[in-house]
Amino acid sequence: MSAKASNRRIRLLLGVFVLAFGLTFLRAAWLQGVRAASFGRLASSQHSEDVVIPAARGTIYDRTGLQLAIGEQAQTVYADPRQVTDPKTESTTIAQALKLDPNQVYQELTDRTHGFVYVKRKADPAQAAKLEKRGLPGLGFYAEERRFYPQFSLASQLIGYAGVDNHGLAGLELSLDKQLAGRPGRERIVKDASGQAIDTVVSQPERDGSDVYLTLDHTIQANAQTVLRDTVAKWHAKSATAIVLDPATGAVRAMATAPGFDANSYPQVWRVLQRNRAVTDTYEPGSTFKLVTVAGALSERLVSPSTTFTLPYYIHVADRTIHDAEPRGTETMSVSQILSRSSNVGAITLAEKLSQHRLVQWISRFGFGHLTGIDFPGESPGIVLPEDKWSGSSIGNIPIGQGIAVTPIQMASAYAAIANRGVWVRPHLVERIGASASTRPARRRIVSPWVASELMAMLKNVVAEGTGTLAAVPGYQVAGKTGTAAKPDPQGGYSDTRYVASFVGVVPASRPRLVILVSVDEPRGAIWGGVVAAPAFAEIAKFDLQYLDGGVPPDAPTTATASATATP
Amino acid sequence: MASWSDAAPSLPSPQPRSRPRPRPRPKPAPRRRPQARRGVAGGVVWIAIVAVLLAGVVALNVAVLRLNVQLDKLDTQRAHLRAEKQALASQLAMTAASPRIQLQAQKQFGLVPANPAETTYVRLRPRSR
Repeated sequence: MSAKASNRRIRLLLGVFVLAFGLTFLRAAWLQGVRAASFGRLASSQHSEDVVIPAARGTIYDRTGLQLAIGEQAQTVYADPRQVTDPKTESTTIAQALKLDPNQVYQELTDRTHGFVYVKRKADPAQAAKLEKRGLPGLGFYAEERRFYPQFSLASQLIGYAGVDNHGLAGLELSLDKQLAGRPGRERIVKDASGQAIDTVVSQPERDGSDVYLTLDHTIQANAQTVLRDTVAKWHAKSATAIVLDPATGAVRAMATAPGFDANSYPQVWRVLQRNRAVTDTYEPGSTFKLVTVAGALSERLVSPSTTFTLPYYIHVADRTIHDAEPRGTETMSVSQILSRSSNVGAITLAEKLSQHRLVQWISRFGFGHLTGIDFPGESPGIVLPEDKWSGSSIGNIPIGQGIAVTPIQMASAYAAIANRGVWVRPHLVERIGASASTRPARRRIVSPWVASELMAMLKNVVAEGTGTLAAVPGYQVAGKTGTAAKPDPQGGYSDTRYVASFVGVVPASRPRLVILVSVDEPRGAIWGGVVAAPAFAEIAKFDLQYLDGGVPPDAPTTATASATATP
Repeated sequence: MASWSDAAPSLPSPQPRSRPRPRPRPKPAPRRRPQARRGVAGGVVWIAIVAVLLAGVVALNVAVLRLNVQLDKLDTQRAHLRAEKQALASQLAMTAASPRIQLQAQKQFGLVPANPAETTYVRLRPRSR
């Protein structure tokens, strides 16, 4: 064959190859270009799986670094009823392992209308691991985070709880949900034919929730809860609330409500027990409110602490007659004595001197009728009548703390302002979130330092020789005020049997470190704030002063303090 | 293409061997044979290079796959360790609470909290010179 023929054959072969490659190329272009998207989707559905990586929920710490709420791994057990071969045996095994009702499990496993049913969400990992080892057909497991409250009933109304989907449902868990929850991530797992992961493509990394550091001190909180529990038991009361506040910073060291509940078993607890009454509930404060009336009269320079008044046992205001708690004759009392002896007639006399308009302004100035802005959800502003709604008798009951409703936190922060030389500081529960620096809480001056110091002196007299003697703490000067208020009757007027007894105090009075409020709802046997709430205050204060910073030095003159010379 | 045309004369004749050979033609220039050998050798080298590269790519993919499998196992291990850490943190939080420690100390060792009324504070002053 000639070279020409050979070349022709080679060219023919070349043409065949070019044609074959061309067709292959066109097919490849068709498959990978035009049909790429649809085939890609089809392929990915067969060998890849999109997985949502849950973000770990942030931990809630108290100010000492103790965990109050923490995320814990749990195993969720699910089943595909269509894959279950022996529902009767399996349901018995599952029920035994997970401590469930076998009949309910059996019903779920026999319902073949579904391809997926939860057997138990967030089960105990140890129980689930034992069950997994049995290798029951149709049963699946996956890890989920479960919220756990390692201190059980400690500050449960305050911290609240997160639900089964790990989202906050109440308390700080709810209000800080955005910061605590973080952001879930996403990844695509590529699997081989046997289902083993051969590649992981992370499309969005998860961002764990931020940790939250509270101002709360678990030791102070635990003691307050114990004292409240004992007080409720002693007086057969409906409930009791206590707040321990640092007056200089507005930091809440304890916020307790009795009876409490274990946050780990919140679904079984009545909703009424889950409320943080210190912030969400209002009460008529009674005599503790006289502080506002006296502060207004002193600030307006209408009276001084030594100004005296001749006060009868009762006073007529519009259509009402108001008298003091204890029967007495007409007496001359100073402003200081009006407060220490908790004279209703005296407080109303001061309010009349102050005038309705200025009293309304002072009530507002102390923050009553407004939200304190505490970082807790569902705060109540209290109930304060606007001036145009006042009746003729309002000046006869509002100055003594009736016909007005306040929250315990409003009352505690008003007394904290007096303890803090007249400067009100916004009460707060959250010290900082994550690594961010703590912010300085809002503050404003309510009364002058002079008025504040005069009020403190008067409040010391309340404990030294007035209605609050049972609030005394050995070695320390205590300033405070008792309050006893009848509760409004559903049929109108005020109840003769249902009262709120309260005490708000400052310790040590010379260098205030703590403001403590105790209010007891519907005590039986005794109703007076000085008898029911003041001893509880003293118990809490005694413990806290010994605990705080290794012990707060006493400031009472009766305390023996030894002097010594330091030797290096 | 040029190389094919150049190589064409060197192809063996398809005619039967029985036919008397014509007068031997003068051999092509001896310098062309080494060129062809070099071409073949070059092809072998290329094949070897491509084979090595392909083997490398396959080996690399296998290594990546092994690493991914290992990574998946490590991920699982990390998840287990994280779960264990969380469980331990829960236990620690439960046991580290000071009221619980105080209660245990009272029960086991008879701890009696100091009475604040009986507590004496010593005020230290710097030594006078």
